[in-house]
Amino acid sequence: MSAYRETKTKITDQECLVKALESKGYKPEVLTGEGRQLVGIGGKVRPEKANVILSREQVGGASNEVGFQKLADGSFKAIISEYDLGRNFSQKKLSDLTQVYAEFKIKKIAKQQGLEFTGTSTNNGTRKITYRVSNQG
Amino acid sequence: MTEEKEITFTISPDGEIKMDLDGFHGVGCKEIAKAFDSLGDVTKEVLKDEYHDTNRNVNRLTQKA
Repeated sequence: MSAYRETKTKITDQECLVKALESKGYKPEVLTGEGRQLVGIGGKVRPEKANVILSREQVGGASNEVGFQKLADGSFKAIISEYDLGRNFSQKKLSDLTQVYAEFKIKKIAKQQGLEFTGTSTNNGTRKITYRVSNQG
Repeated sequence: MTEEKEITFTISPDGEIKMDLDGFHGVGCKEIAKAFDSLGDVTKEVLKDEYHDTNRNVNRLTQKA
């Protein structure tokens, strides 16, 4: 081994975020610019804005919309109400989504770099992806 | 003979990514790691001996002789 690196995933790629949500069965609404305000329980408009939004119907019966707001640094911040964190969109669900996002992002970069995919596996919830490199020093 | 270079990514259930680069020697290792900077915030990075070992093949030949 010639290098080892640990990275805390930061969601910055909207395309990969949308793919990750779709792979979990959601149909996110994608908005440009400032996005729009989220809708809460009872159809009440909330103050928070988001650019990638999951409708209340998708999140769960009596719930608020879940959104991902694009910040000035290019990253996306998940906006999940306390109510939904405890019921319909838990921290575990968000972690699962982050893991899937990371996999999509790795595959995207690997493709851009021309790396050869050699395999993937899952062990106790941990995903492993391997690539062969033929043209690097 | 070309030594095989391999990159292994391990993604934990909470989204932490571990990246292992095997079989690299010299700056190519750092260049390819940099391509993955946009994954997030790097919390730890260790360059192994091979990273500095640009004369590895020469050393091997010397030892054989």
